[in-house]
Amino acid sequence: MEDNSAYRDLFFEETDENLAILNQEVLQLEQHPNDKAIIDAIFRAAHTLKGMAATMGYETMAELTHAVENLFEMVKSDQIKVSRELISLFFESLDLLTEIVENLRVDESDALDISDLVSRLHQVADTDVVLNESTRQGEETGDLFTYPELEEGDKAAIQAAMSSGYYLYAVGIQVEADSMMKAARAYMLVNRLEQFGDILLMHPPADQLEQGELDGPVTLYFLSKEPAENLLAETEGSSEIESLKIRQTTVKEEQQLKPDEKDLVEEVSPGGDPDLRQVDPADQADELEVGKKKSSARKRTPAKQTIRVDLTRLDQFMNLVSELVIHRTRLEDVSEKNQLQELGEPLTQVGRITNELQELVLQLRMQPFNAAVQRFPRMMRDLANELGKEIDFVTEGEETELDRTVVSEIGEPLIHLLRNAADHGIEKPDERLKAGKPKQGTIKLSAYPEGNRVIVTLQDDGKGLDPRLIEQSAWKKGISTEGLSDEQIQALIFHPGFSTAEVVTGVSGRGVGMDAVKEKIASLNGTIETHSEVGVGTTFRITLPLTLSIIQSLLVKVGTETFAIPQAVIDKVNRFEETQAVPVHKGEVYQHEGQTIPLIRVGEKLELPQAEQALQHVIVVLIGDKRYALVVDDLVHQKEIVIKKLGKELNGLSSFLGATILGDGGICLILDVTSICTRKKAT
Amino acid sequence: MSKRVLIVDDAAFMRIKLKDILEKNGYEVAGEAQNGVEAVELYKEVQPDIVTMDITMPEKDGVEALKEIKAHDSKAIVLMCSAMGQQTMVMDAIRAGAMDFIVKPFDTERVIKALDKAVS
Repeated sequence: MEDNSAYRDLFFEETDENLAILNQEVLQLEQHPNDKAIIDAIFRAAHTLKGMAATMGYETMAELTHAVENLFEMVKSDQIKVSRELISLFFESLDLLTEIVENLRVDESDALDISDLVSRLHQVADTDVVLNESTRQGEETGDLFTYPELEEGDKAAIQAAMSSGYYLYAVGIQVEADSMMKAARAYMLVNRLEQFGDILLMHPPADQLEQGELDGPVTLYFLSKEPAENLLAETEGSSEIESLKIRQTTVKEEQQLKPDEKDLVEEVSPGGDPDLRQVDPADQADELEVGKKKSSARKRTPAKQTIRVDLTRLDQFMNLVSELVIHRTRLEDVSEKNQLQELGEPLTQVGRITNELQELVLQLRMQPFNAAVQRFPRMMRDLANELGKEIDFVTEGEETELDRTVVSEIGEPLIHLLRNAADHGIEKPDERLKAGKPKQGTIKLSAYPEGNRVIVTLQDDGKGLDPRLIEQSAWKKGISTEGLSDEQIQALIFHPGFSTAEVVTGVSGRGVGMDAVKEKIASLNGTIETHSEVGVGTTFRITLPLTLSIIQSLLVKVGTETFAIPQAVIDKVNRFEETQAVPVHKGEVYQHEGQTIPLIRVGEKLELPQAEQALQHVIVVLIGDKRYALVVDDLVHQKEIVIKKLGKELNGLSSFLGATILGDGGICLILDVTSICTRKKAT
Repeated sequence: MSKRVLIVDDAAFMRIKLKDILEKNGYEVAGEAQNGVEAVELYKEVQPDIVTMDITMPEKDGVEALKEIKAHDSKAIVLMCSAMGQQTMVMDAIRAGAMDFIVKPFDTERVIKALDKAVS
């Protein structure tokens, strides 16, 4: 076996891609069983997988993909109809394939038992194609040359040709036994010979050869003006030809030889009707497939030109650009402080270029949401089947772009939410009918950009979160629900170690709670909220940052400290007068343009002394659809900042998203506004 | 001087694998194309000594690309790369003037033998 380790990464990358395509397309096929474009796409993906697996020497994988591909060739050529069973069989194969690939990824071995599945795949192929049965007999045992018989007409033609300078050759071709396309190999040789003369008689006949049927030798009579050594020189060393005999002869000689041929390699093969040849189902299908291709010209959208880049390099690039931005800002500061006019113009240029660089690197890191979503339809289909529910899974806004890290990390929490929605949310069909709902439940996953953030919502029309059930469960776990509104009780599902399911099923409740979901989303600088109505359904709303590292921010003073507030959440900024703060029973509210907005004094919240010369401002922020008014001591200015994560040691500081380096080299903390506004006061 | 090869395959995996085999055996890879359209354009641009051409590709398949390359340069040496089960397309390719073909999965020795022979 050749060493293929160097291609492993690429192999897995492309394999994952193709598996994803397969899952997606097979799912599509279930909806549109007659769509040729889908069948073609499946076939291509299976084909590619097979090729790569075989090249890597992963025999089990190659065998399985080959079986799948074969079956699809038959689907392509209309020999098999797409049925539910067939789809299920394909999905089963895909699952096994995925398992094999995962095993390979870990330990380089693809030894999994696939015999059962492969035999079932073959079974489908065999029972549906009656064609094979009768053609399987009459296999030729002999692999030696038998020349076709010359008829009277042929003899006359030979005599005529020979008298005008042609030589007669008897040609025997034996293709190597392990050659994978015997007919094509022989055909190539015959094709080459034809450039130097005319073939008179050939066995098997040319049309049979062209159809790819060959399991024995090819013999022919050939007329040419070229001497034997020229012909040999032209055909010498043809690939995968075991033996080639070009023997100059005459009609007389041939007749004498007839019953007992003397050619070195040959002997008359006993019995066996040469016309009854074995037909390989794959080739049979192939041939039909070609016919199809010609008749229906397929249109495909042009593929994008891409190259693959190691993600760590991209991260490195990102980091370097971030550093560049920091130092540009510092330079700007120096230039401003020292009134260096000369620096102004070049700095503007540098500024423009770094901005473009920044944008570019951000775009480079963007990936459509689809990358996370594409595996879900399949999962939901399986889930629905497993749970005996009818679920219409709808996705929207898959093209919405997000930072690559976010896309790759968001999948896991979404899966958890989807499983929950299918398991606990959507009711069984009979329950739904009883409740006057359509039999089929709907789960909708959508994504759309909103300013600097992306909102992902997951909506089901199931039974909703019952606050009473949650309350009971909370009591059992010793969580106090005193004084909480129904909405707040519903939010308890995010409480660590909480599970409302009465019975832990195989589908959800695998020990990962909703708190893990929340935590994961928080680690991506995102937030999750839930709105649920009993009997109507539940909606989760996840807000995610578009990018993780560079943001526009407003620098503010609180006490003696400078903080950055992400601009994405800012709705309005106003001067603040103490008279605008109205005390209410639990705190204060800010009244603005007829709205009453909860007021939060950042200084108090962070326990900082108020600045002596405060020019207080109120910053109205929008979190979800709720407004909060933050009072700060002063505004500094607007600034683009690079988020640097706080170290692990500071993980407990929920009030801050991170820190950034300012133009003067000082460090400024970035406020996590969501956390500050929604966190309950420490009791 | 080492012979220059244009590799045409829609799977990057296959291109890299082939490229490795070629470079280890003294060939120079003059270009890589991932579909038939690119193949024809690149052929005109880099004028390789030999082309390895995959058959099943998006946009324009290998046989079509072969025909166009042959129409542009009748002396073009094109080696088809085919997978099992594509025999009829290989036949089409041979009729269209393919010099030889290799069958995936690639066996290094066979690939090099076919190439050496094709350029001799």
